[in-house]
Amino acid sequence: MAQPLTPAFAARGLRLRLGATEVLRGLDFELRPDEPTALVGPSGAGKTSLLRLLGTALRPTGGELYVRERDVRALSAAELRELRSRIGFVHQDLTLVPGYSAASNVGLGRIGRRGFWSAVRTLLAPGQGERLEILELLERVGLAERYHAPVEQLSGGEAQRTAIARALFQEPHTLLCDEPLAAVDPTRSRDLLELLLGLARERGLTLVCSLHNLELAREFFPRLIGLRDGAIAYDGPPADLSSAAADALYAF
Amino acid sequence: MRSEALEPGGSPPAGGRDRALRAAAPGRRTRLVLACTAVAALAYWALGLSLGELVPRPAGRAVLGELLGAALRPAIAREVPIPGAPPLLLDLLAVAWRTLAFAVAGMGCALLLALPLLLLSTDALWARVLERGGALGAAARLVRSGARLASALLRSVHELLWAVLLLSAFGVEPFTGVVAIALPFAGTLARLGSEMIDESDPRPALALRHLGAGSAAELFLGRLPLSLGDLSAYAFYRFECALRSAAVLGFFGYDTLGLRLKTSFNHLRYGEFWTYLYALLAMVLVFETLSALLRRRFVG
Repeated sequence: MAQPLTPAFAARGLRLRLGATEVLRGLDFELRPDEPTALVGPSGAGKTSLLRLLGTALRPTGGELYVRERDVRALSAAELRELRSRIGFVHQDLTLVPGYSAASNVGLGRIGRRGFWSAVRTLLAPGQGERLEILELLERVGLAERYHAPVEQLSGGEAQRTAIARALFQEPHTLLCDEPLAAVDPTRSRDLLELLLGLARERGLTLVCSLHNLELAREFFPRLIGLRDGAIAYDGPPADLSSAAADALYAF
Repeated sequence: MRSEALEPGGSPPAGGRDRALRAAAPGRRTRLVLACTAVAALAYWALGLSLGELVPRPAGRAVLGELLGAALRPAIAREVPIPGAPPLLLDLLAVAWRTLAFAVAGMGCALLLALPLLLLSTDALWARVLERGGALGAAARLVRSGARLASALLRSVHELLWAVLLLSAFGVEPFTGVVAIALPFAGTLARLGSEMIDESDPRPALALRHLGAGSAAELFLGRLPLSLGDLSAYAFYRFECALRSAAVLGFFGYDTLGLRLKTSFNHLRYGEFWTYLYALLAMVLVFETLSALLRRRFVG
């Protein structure tokens, strides 16, 4: 009864140029929804840009990209918005909205599928059901007691987990995380990765994370894509990545 | 092929930092201070000022002495009884209340007028349309410039000058006084408000855009809340200004504290003069304290 899974993402000759810089130069890959993937490689290799392409925040300047079998080049602005509203994106630097509580920020997760006024109502007077849903999500990421806390009072790690809860409130099919460990105390790195992979498993999310830390990526993710200078230098399970190949990936 | 970027391509948001760096360059600041000093000296010379002018003439010295002497014994009853007039302190309460009402009404109208001007003047409101360019972008730029020009015109004329203009057209009606306060205040509120919004961190709003938010949601839920604290603090401060302006409008005949200050001074009732002046001072201090309390409570 196991159906062959359709790829969550498929890229053929995917290119991205930002200004005069060729950021990604012809990538080919397919990502399966049940295979959490880590993007590894040195800074400037194009990991964040690739995540933004997958999240349809940027459009490719060449090649093909299919998100759940839909050609992103053919989608209208409204269709893109609809697609985006189901892709959770945990940014490294794009932040929570200050002045709101953790719960209100989580409530903003559905802003893409709701009208403006409905979003305002969720902020000012969320319904009983919504409040419960938000509380459950904050509980899941270990922040139930921070429900009312203004986000300025959250630590880096707590803000990160609030952003994850906001992404989950979107009811996403895909979760993209840009350097999720950057904001976290190194001793909590494993906890955070366990949380992300656990969420992907229990909710059937396609998970793609960019990670600096190759060791942790090897330990947690069944698939690694190594980027170097905007091209794929490695693609496969961590066991097959020889230490020579790993060194070459990060060599100057 | 057009790359329809969701985000403006990679330009760092920190324009303020560049400005700070430039301002901190050595030598530049010294030259600026020297230039300002030179301009001040030039103005001093152009007006032919001499410190001797600050020494009062003998006749003036007598008036000044009497006036300052009265400062220690403000009147609590009318110095010269006026048949049929209410007692001094009752009149003080009524006129203080009217001054406050002028300020509140003026500030209320100013806020109503400033809000649309403020939003139309921001870059944040038009960001998406401007990125798209074309005829729509050009139209947006035109509307934005129009709003900025309108608020510049409003604030370039002082409220007292507005009062003179409106007085000559409509007479001493309370409403002209309110409008005289509202027009320039709306201009300054719109200018400062739009700058506060545009200088706030754009990243939370961009994060909302990634969630699929529309332009209105991005601006009102992701951008405006960041500067709401500063905006309300500034509005409180402007309210104190409105209170002083409302009082001064009395010199043009509006029935506020200024009118009482003027008549009591002209009639040499210096005790009453100080009573009204102390009342104005007390009102300003009370509202300063109140706005500080509110700011601490809501802005943090």
